[in-house]
Amino acid sequence: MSAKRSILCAIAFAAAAVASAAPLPATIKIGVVETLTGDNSAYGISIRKGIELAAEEINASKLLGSSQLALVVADDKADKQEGISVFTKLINDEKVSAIIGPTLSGTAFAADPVAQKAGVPVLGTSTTAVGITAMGDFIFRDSLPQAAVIPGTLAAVIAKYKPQKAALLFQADQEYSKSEADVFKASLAKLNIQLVATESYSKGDSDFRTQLQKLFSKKPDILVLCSLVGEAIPVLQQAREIGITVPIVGGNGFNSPNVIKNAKEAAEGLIVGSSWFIDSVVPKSKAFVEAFRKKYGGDPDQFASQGYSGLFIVANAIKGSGSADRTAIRDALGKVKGLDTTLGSFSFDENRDPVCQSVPLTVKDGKYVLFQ
Amino acid sequence: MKIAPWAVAAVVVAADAYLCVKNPQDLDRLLINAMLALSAFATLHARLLSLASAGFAAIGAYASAIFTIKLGLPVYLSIPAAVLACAAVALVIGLPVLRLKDVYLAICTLGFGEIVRVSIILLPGLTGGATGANLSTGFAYEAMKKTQAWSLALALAFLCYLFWSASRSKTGRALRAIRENPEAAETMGIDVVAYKNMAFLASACIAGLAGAFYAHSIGSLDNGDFKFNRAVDILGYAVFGGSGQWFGPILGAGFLTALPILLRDGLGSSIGFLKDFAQLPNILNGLALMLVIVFAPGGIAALFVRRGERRATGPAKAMKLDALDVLAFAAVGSAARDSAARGLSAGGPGTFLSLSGVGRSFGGVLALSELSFDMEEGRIYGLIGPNGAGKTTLINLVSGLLPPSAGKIEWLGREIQGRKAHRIARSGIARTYQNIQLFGEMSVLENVVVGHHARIRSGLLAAWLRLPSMLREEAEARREALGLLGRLGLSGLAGMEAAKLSYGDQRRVEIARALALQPRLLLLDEPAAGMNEIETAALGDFIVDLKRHGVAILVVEHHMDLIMAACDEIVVLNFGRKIAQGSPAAVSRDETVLEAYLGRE
Amino acid sequence: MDLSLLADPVFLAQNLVDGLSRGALYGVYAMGFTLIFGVLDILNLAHAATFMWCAFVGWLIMAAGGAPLPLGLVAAMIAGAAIALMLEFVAFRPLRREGADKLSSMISSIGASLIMVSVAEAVFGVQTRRFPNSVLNPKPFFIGGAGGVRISRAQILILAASVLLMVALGLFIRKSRMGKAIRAVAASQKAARLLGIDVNSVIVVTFLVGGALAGAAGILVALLTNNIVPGMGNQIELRGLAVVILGGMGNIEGAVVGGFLLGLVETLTIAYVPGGSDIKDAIAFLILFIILLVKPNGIMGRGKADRA
Repeated sequence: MSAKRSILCAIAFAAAAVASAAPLPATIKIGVVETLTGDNSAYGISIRKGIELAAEEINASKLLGSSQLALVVADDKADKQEGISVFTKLINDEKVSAIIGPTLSGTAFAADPVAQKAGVPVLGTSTTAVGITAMGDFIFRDSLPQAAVIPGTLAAVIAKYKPQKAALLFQADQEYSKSEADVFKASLAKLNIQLVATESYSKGDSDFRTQLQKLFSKKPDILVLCSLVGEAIPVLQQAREIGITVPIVGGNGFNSPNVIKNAKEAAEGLIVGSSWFIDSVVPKSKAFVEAFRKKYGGDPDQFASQGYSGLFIVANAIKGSGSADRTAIRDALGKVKGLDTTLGSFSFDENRDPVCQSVPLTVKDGKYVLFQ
Repeated sequence: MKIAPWAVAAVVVAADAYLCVKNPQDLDRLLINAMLALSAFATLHARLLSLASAGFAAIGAYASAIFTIKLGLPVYLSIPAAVLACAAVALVIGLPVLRLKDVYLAICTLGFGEIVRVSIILLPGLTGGATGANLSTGFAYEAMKKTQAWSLALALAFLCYLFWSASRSKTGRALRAIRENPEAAETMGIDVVAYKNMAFLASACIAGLAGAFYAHSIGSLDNGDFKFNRAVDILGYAVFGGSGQWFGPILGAGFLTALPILLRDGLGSSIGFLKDFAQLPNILNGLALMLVIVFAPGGIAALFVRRGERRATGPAKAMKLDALDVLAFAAVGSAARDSAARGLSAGGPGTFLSLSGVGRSFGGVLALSELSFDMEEGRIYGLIGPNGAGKTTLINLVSGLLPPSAGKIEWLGREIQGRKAHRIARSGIARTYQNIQLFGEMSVLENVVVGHHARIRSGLLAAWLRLPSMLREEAEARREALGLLGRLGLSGLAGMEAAKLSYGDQRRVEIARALALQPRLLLLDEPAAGMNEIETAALGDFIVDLKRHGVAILVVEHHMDLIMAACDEIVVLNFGRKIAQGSPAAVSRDETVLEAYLGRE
Repeated sequence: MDLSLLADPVFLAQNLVDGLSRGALYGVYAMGFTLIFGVLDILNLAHAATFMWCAFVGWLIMAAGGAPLPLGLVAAMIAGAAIALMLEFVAFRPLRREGADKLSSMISSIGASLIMVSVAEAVFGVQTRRFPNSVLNPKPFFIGGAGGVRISRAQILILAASVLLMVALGLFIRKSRMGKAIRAVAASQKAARLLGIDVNSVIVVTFLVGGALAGAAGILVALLTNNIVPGMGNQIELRGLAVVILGGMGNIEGAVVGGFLLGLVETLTIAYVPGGSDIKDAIAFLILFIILLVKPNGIMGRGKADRA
């Protein structure tokens, strides 16, 4: 496969000495800690699918020569204590070389220090909160922090609609939604757009009409929504029901095939920014979407894509270091530069955060297309 | 269904030990859950259906985190400070909330948890808000993660000791009594409201402690850590383990914490074809919950109680009431003598008991009206009248279970209407009930020892320190109670569960319990109901003997033989009004009385 | 207070409509809950899971099977009754036979709920689902032309259903023979047994009715919120509990009135209090607190004897 070869080429080996060390073991265990049950399992399940697909491809293509990746999957139940427990188990009992996960930032703040202390590299594929990678030099992520996505999206919106006033809705008791809203607020201020109203809802709410009505009464030019996928759909529909026709800019939660599938015409015209979308023209991505559809019979979302790329990033680090040693993998991860992934050309910056493209998208005729 | 309780406990302990050896991180979780379970137990055991533990744990967790990070307190100061913060909050919200009953309290305390959660979100400067207390909000993991499992284990062991020692003191007994029958507990001189407040306070402090340890064990926090489901889980530990014994919740938490982990580890990677079925452990967990609770409906600890009681009651059941017992029943105990002596010495000037113009209505219906009469010390008064005449209402008014809607009740020269029942009981008025109100699950002996509540001076602190004085007092109370039981012909039944006794025996236990209060006035509400003629006659002699030792008695009875033989004076009620008063001879000749009451017989 | 908004009558009317329909949502959920609660005195924590399963049954029939709304509603109600019946036999009756503590049945209902939610997750996944527009047109009406007060068909439906169900259930409980038996059992199972009432069959009927109400609620709530997920029951459970208590345990009318009250309070807090949407949950419970302090048995609560 040409995609695989390009990854090989893209890796810059810093020292040949590392590569010429002892051969890789026959199986290399990689821990996968995701939220697989409960309300938040939509993300975890999606990520797991992406990772398992990647593992199959890596093993089939002999990317690591004769050695095979073996995934050890665990459910963190979106619970801090469970996250710590499974991290410890994977590190001590399963002797994994690296861990991908956990799904939520809250779990990561509790569990990642365990790996950091044990010297096990962790790659988050869905944790976007501020401070995740600051927990230590073993903590990486391939999910773009909100601050890397939102300003670009807003700039594109300004270019097209020239809005003066914006209104914002977010989930007050949800870490992800809250920090996304904070980034939006800061970016709006920087771009001189007046935030005329902010409303929130909390977990368990399903009727958002009053908040939307109140926002609508302030006559904003654009409406910014920060919700997780679950609430994104009813929020969108109720916004349209109320008669809100101004452009809607959605946060990361709105970038999911499920939003289009369920919100249908209410999703039309929605604008989101993301490092990945289903109709991305990146070659690796096209191959990924095709393989994913073939294996699972449905469309992948951004999280599946990030999970898929996540395992490739780890595999390439193993290849690069020529070792299944945890510290060696960590060192090699730090050197990932310009790797060809579904997210486009991918690198880590000096803070172990991802450097990759982010594109503004809009929904047109039931599809995410580039927003121009 | 018989399950060997020690086997259950052994399995739980072994499973937990296995887990902790295998994954020491789970030890923290286990200990914290056990602590939270104790917190739920503290309220549940006092008959409070509170779901506030999660809310208090959140306060404890955030307070300790804030004290550690923002104030730079060392962890061994910040944790106690967090517990104090919880105590303060508990005192403020406990006052209004504890008035609520059962599920109303439950939902209100759930609401409390929700308010705490919203407050955490609304104070981002202090708590990190919705983003949580973690590195991104200035709560660094290294500075937060301060406790080791051993300190947690030590704290839990200390708590267990406190519970164990309290359970073997008057505090534990009072709480058990309240759990079984708060009304009867109140009339035995137990300040039920104070004990409930204390239990709520203790629960809050323990939850706060567990929360603080949680914060320092995990190293980060967010508002979702102690949400609604958590509150229900915590109560679940206590119920599942059993709310009757302090070690119940610990077993419950041990079981319920270990089960999902064992299921996870057992199923995780071993069953290949189920690897995409991530919900399987949860489903099996639910099934196990349902199965176990059917086999141990009172919780795991209840299995122990049942067995313990079998042991105690084995020989006692064989005992039959014989003539000797009946004779013994008639012989008055020294307890009454003691109380008489005490009563006389404490007796001041003024009236003994005086009712003037006392009335009570229920939703507009007058149960008693304009009732006035005086009682003198050391005499027996009979209170008779047709059903619904207001006799029991009168006893409830005098014993303080009900406040009168009108009139004055003077006792030893002080007005006591509206005074709380436990204070009236302590001032020397004891009672029995028409419908027996024993503490059914407690032993006969313990029932009687409850009567000593007011006299045992050693409080909680003495119990915790196991001071010799406290042990002496306890032993003395037991000895006295046994003596009292012996004189009532009940000594062979001392170890039996009170609810298992025959009707007549239960009545006698009630009388023994009332006498244990060493009253100067004894209110007997139909004491002979359910007794045969011999027993009734013996009861009459017993009452007269009590009088001889200085105890005044007000007896409500339908057995006219008893009334006529024992009473010095009779008050006749009809439709809530006094229609006659006088000596048995005079009353039995009274026309109105004959018409209203005796005439019907 | 947000004065500019306060002066706007359309905005106020809009909030009343939205508040009442939000309240109706809580009310229809709480009705079945409070019935089982009031009669059996147990917290059936599997009611939320029953409600969720009914929404999925409706979704299967209407979205996947293409059935019309009335058929879906009936199917969901039957499903709800069947699930509740199963719960009675599997989770509650064995414990009642053992003479277990009331709280024990709470544990077994937690177990049942865990199983039901997990199975739903395994079968349906956790992605949000919704009814197609063909089931009920989502386009709202505007009273007084464009810019007037908006009300959607789902809102009309849930408002009407909450009142209708409340009246029907109230009549059933008060007038019918079975209703009287239910009330007797609610007052005292022992006394009812002495009166010759077959307590177990009365409880079965209670579960059937309560389950059917959960079924109706599942469909109505899903129509109003466009959000069918395995966790939808947990989301409404806490509010449902609050409404049950607000209305007085076992009080059908109280549940609906309590629902309306909670819905209005939440909506008006969001609408008129600055930062109101952040504190609405706390406000709702503060009001519950205060009401219970004044009326410890709920706004329409009476003594235990009059319950259900």
